[in-house]
Amino acid sequence: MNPVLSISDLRARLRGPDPHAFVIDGLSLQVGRGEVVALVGESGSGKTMTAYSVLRLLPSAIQLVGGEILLGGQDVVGMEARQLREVRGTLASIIFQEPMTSLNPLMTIERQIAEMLLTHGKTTRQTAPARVIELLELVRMPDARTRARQYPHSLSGGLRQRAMIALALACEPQILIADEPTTALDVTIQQQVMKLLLDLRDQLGMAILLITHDLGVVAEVADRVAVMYAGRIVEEGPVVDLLEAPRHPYTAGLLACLPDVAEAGGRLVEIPGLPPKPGSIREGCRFAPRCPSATDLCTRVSPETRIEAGRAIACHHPRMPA
Amino acid sequence: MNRNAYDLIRFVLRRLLQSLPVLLGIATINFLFVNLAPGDAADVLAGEAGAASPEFMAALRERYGLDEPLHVQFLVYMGKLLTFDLGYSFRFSRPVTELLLGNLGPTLLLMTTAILFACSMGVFLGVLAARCVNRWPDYLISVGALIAYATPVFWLGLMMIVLFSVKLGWLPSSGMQSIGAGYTGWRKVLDVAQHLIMPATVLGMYLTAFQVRLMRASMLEIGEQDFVTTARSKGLSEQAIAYRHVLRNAILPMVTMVGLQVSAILGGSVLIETVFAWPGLGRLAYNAVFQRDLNLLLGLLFLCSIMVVVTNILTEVVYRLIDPRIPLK
Repeated sequence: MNPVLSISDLRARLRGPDPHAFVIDGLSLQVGRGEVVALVGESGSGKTMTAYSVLRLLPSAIQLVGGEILLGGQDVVGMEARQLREVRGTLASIIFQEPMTSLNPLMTIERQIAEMLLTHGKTTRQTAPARVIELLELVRMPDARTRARQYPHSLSGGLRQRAMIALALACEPQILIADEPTTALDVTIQQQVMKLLLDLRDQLGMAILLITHDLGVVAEVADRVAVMYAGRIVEEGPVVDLLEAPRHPYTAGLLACLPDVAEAGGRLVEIPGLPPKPGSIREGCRFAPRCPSATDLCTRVSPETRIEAGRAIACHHPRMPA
Repeated sequence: MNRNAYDLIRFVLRRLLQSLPVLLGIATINFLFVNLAPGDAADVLAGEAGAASPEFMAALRERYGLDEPLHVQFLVYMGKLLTFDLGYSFRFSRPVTELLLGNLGPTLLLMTTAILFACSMGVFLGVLAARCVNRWPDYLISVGALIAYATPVFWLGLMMIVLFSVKLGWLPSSGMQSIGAGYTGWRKVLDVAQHLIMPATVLGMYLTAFQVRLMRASMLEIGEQDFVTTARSKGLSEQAIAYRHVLRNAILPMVTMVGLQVSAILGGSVLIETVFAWPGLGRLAYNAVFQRDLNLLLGLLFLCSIMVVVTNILTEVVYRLIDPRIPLK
């Protein structure tokens, strides 16, 4: 089965004097048809930049320097501008973390969604309003007819995120990239939005690449998880396996950080130290300075990614499966 | 739509009502400042006559009410103001209101043209600079704007007259119409337009420079916003992103700036109208100041304050029409 999205050996660096300031450093990841893959990591691990690079939306300070991103079999990295515009929205689309700022404040919801449809020739000016309402109803926007004619400022965060999802799904993409879609929302709204995304996946058959730092969300919705640290994927595998028996010390550390209601009042666990700045570690494993099981080997040689029993792991001293 | 129009009218009426105290306050301050300056119309009239006896001076002052104590003069002035009587200009021997209305048209024409010129050039060049940021068109436009900003207005006016009127003979050097030509219809419009080009360009130059810099910065700032990334992710062309999404948001600060600068333009038109002999309020103000024509000067200042107040209300209306987030309350 051909994957919808296949990223191999992707590299992106900060523009500037340091040629080693990699934000994404040799990342490979595949997302199959209808699959929900979660990309997890701390702030600054490069997960959002990975999401942006799939549609070549990276900010100007960051430059793709190598690798391949196959979207429905076409390489996005070397694509010229016109072809890229055709791909955006039709093969893959993206929703962002901040629903408050990701819609144009001076355009009605209807115009913003219709613009997408018209740009890709999916509708005509006459049929656009009806199609927009259909889409808004698809994402369960209450009172879709009225909402369509409103401006983003009169919608709540949850409704704006629904509008964003309707926009992203307008041209029926094969994969939806969701960059922390629920981080800025209330907990109850988070649940609704995640459920909506899963329902839509079942209904439309699209794949979802979910960028998040919330392992609770991951456990509920993802099929597969990739854990990212300092621009690399350190561990990847099916969600249940990986969360129940993490093999990379970083994954184990992240899981240990989850607050436990049963132990309320106890001290919160943390991984000591901070993630390295891009380019600050040139040799060895990037997690070594913070790793409890690091050895001399770890600081000298960067671990290769090995695949064992459906799990990919980049560590010299992985934890033994229980 | 009807409801919006109704809200708009109510908003404008309320703002007009609110500005009445402001206008009266301005009139009071104007009166006090103008009377603080030494010398009155009688001094100037007498001076021009070459010599005058104290009796003649006293007679002049009595005739124009200049011999009354200041507070009486003030009350008389304010009383007349409330009935829109701005008094009599003894230099021009005509009612001030008549003089002002006769000169208002040319000034409005000049100012409107200058502002439209500045705004369209500001948008055009500002957007161009922002879209070519840090490449040669951007540098060229930014340096040009800096030079335009730094050039003294009267000097530019004189140099343009030297070049386009004296050397090349393309444009008339002064006035608003060709004297004695007696044009009518379109020929007259064309004639006025030819006279308008240089003063409007010079007057608008400073504002243009301002708008270009503002527009460029605003475009760049808006270009970094999340919704622009959304627009890009929709597969829109860079052109559509710049004009449909960035420009409309970036234009908001420009509207504010134009509203604020109308008063500066009003001041600038005194210089321009003098240099180009444009028959407007600016030239009238110049004459009023040097001839101690206090009634005329006060009338002018009052009219200017009305224009500024009206512009402010207009700015707010435009702002609310562009930006749905600001309610008409």
